[in-house]
Amino acid sequence: MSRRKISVALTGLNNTDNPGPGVPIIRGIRESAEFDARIIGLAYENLEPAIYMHHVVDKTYLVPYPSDGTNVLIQRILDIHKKDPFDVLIPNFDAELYAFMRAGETLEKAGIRTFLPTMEQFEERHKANLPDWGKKYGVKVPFSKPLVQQSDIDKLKKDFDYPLMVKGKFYDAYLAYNEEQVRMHYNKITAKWGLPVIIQEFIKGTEVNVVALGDGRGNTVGAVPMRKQYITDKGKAWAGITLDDKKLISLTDRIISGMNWRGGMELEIVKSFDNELYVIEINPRIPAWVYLAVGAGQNLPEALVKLAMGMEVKPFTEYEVGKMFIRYSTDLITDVKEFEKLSTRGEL
Amino acid sequence: MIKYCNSGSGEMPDFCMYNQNNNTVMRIKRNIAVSETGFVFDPTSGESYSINREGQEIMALLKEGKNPEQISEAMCAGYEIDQASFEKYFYDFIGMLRQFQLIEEDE
Repeated sequence: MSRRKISVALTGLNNTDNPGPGVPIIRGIRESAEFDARIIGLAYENLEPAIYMHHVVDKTYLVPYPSDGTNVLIQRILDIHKKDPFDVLIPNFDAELYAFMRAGETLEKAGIRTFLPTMEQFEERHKANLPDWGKKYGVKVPFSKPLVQQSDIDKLKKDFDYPLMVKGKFYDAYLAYNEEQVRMHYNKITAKWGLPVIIQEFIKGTEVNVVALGDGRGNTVGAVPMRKQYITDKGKAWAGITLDDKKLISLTDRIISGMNWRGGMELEIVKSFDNELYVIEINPRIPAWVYLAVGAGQNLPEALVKLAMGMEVKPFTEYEVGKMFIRYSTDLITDVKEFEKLSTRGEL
Repeated sequence: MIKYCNSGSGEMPDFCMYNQNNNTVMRIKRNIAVSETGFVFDPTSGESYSINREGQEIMALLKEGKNPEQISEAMCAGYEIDQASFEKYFYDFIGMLRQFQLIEEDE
């Protein structure tokens, strides 16, 4: 069977110790038996490693940060599409999703397909809205409160016991044992991600994660649970293993069907010592460890592309338990001419 | 004293026994995998453990469906240990399996 030629543009090329999901998603797409994909990388920084990995990314364009303005970013995407057309766009950062969801119609008119959550889905699973979300869908979540000013830190002891979690609205999470530590993390997080800062009850137990894909009509296309076996100082998984836990899969199904979730997602869950499951975060995109799911038998990146293309996707019903991933770092050698070309022309 | 019961649950025999203090039935979880090299893998938690040769033998006897008396007999015959000392280690071992949630208990 000849494979269908497609072109996919995506972000998340920062394959660092705090990795974006770009490279593992590309690996999944490249392993597809149905697609012969040309990969267009969209990079925010000129040292994102995958830019220079020519066996992974065929062509890269620099794009402006969403903080430069949604219109500036979307216009750049449209300009790239005009010059070098692509079929599907996969944004991979929480912080850029808002811009791409808002521009959904514009992108569609230009012939760029995406498969993203709706604005309502994106908003209601926000860390700051988690208690309401838990109540609405009957899911256990830790008690949490948004902080919008530093003086509120003094009032935390009324509602929380220490230790507690201090979280940024998009990224970063720190455990704090006293007010001083909350203050320190608050300052660090607001400088990077702005307000609100979310204070969350600390649930003791084992953290497990699920990568899943919803078809937007309430069906789970695929779901693979994983436990981190080795964690970096940034809290990122450096090694992990797939689990056989039906409770995790049924919780994922319940969330996806309740929300009619559209697109990729990562559930961060704490299994308490009395085996209760608490959802601590819902990330609205595919995580960087997604290649483990591909290795375990669920090519979720390929399925995401198919959904974006409007193709029929048969839900995955199984995956291999006990599959492991172990990340590694390597030194990629490139020439300053490549760096120069990207830096001056904005493409490579 | 621990009593053995046969749960008759399929191709792989479950180990189950009555706790001496109450009538709770304990079983080694069915999905726990034990390799010939003594590697124990719990696919629900993703945890893995290594057990020594003696632990391996006990796990193998448990998997064969042997009751505690039979296990005690076999181990005491193979090693220089008296039954009372063995039982002490055996209960410690069972306690550890419980702590690592490798056994399930039903009322």
